[in-house]
Amino acid sequence: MAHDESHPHDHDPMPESDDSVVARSDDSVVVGIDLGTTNSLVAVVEDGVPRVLPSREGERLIPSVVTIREGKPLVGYAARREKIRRPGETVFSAKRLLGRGFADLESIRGHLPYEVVHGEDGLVRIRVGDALYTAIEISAMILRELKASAEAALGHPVRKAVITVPAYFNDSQRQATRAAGRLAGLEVLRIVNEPTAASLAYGMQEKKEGVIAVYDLGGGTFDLSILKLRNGIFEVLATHGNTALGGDDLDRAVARKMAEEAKAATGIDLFGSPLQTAAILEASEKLKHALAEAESATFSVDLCVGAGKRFERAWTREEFDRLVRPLLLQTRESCFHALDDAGLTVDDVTEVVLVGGPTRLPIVKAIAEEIFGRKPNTSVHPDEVVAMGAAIQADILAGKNQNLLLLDVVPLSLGIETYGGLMEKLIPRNTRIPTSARETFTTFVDNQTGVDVHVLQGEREQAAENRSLARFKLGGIEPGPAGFPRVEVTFLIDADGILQVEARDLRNGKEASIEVRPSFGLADAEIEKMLAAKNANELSDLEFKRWIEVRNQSEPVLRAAEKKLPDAYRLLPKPEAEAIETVCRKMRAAMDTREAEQVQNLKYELNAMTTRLAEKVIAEALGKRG
Amino acid sequence: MGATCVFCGGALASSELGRHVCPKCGAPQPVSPGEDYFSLLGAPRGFRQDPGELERRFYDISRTLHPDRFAAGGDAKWKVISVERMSAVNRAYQTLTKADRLREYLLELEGVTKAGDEKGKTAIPAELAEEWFELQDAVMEDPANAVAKLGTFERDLRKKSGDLAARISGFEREYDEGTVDPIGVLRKIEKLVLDGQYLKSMERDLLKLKTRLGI
Repeated sequence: MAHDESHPHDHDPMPESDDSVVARSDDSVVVGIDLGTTNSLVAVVEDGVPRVLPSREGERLIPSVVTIREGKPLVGYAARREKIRRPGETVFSAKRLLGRGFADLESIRGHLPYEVVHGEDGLVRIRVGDALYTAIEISAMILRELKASAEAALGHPVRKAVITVPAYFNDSQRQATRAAGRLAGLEVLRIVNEPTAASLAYGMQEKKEGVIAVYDLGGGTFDLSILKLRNGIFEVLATHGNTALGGDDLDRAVARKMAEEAKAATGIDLFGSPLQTAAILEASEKLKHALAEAESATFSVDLCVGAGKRFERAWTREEFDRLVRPLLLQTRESCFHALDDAGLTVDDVTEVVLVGGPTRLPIVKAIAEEIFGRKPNTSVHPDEVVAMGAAIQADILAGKNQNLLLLDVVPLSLGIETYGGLMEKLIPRNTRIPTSARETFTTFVDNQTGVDVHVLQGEREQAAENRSLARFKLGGIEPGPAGFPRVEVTFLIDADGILQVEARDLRNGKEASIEVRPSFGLADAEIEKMLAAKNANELSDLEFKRWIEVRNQSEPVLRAAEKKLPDAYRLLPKPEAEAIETVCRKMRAAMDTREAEQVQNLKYELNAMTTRLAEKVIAEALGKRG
Repeated sequence: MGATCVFCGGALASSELGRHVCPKCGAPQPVSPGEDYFSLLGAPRGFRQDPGELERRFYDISRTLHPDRFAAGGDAKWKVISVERMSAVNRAYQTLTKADRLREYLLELEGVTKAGDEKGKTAIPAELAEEWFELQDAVMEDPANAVAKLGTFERDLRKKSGDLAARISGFEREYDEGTVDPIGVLRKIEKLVLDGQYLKSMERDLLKLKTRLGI
């Protein structure tokens, strides 16, 4: 695909007066972002209509691929082209690593052309060239590109966003996504489930009511959500899924088979090097895409990249279908789980909506039809519907759409580890959110002042088989005999599906201290540190242009005022001089943190305050001369 | 009610939704100690609920109280209160729409069962226990011929459960229609619920037995 190298904002002239831009930019624009395993999109609602915004490359999709060149990230098609050329420095499918521990990656680790290492803190890190990055940082780079694209398309800064995640994402994965948003300089107003977002766009487009099943097969995840649509309310009844099943896995199935055959025929291991791995995965993806359209296609890959010798093999769609069918049948279990939890049967479902690129494959359509006994609805755009839905939710959160409302659920049960290594469920899966549960804890030995609490998420009886979310230490308990203190802990799941914990000592009503240590994520303090480390890069091109403008106008004014401070104390009443000094100090601080708006306002204030001083200085000078 | 908005002091009773969100200033109201799941949803305190009516009220409340309505700027306190109150309304809706949860909640609300109490267990009547052991022996000795016995036992168990459910709903009706001794009626319901527990666990064991025999 040929790309226009120039960016849209290069020829889109900036509006002359930026006052209106500034006023609009701060609060009213909230974008919707679909941060996908394979591709990402950003959309916005304008005058009630959702629209996908073009990327800076002039495309509708931004491949979720990042390459680092001379320390600078490059995201999108340009990075995707580097996948084969520079496999060790190009990261894709980072979403599969978000919020996960090293042990979670067993199934895909051997099939990634980039290196994944076990961080000391339990977090997975990706080696790109000489540096190590967390999946959160890689995702933040993609989000920053989406933010910049939206800013270029809209012509003003974007600071707020709604970001979608697979419905079956656990708390760690949601937290990691939110952290990535913050790291990209976005205020994440809401984390929304992808199938729920898709239902919003579907509902708005089709204007139908009833019970729908959203069958969402993405690049790396599968979700099935059952929703009831009525009077503008989108009520999720139940959701189930698999966060390790997606289009990627179909590619890997093809790749594994081709690697076996190639090895038998030629003795060459097609997973033998990062370069070769990247090449075979790409060839498999190409075959999958071709077979979505045609009955037959040829798999073709360089046997030894660059040497000109190729391994080729003809495929029919039938063979492909047979190969991937067992994988796709895993989705059946999720469908029945969700129906069961909703207290419904397939006959209650009035429409099946397909979402996600892989649902273009005839085999996926056929399996969805087999499961639900009805032809699925394919009216929505499988790649764009989630981003559109995110934009609609963004519009709702911005207070601009009072007619629609999403009511969602928590996908996985939440509980705590009890004595004997079992999990006690406090909030069962498919509970409507926001929700909360209370639990009272006590001590086991006399004068114990702290209690350890281990929070878990999952459906298994054994604590160890569930996802560890965090360990809390309830501290500052008033000493007393064992079993006597009572600390009440409130577990609150907010509208993002994210856990918050509060504790109170019931005997004195005091807040008990909690030290949260996320098991697979970054603590708030670590994110703050990373944010602080970011510098001018953090400002988008537009913001940066505006900042330079403001700085150039303001710096001389401030410097002049700072210089005249001794005059001020000499010629003006003390309170007035002190006021000037305070404004100078505030303005200097705002300059250091590059807050354009504040600097601008303080400049006006300073101008007004120093008028009398200027008069006095001039009068004095004239007096001396006279 | 005479309740007033904690933010602007305006009267809250002027509309049905006023309890949740002040009709004057739009502020969500903190959950007050006097509120329970029934009053939160404006539902009558009783065992029989109209699901359509509950859904309508739940949707109406959600439309104005949900945190999504307070996401765009505004008072930070409002956001926190809307999350807290909405989570109470969500719990209320999920309780009142499920018969067994509703029963458990109402018994607790009326002080018949104590919150956090270990759920009491009643012993299986000796007669029934004996039948059960006999059946298990029969299955061990001669699985093929035990099938008929198993069927009889199952029918018997089902009938017991059915009778129990009918008696419970009879007392529930009595409570709902108003009785001079509501607590006495609730105690009877509690007793029957406890009896129902061993029937339920026996039904589960029976199911396991049947699966083992491949029926």
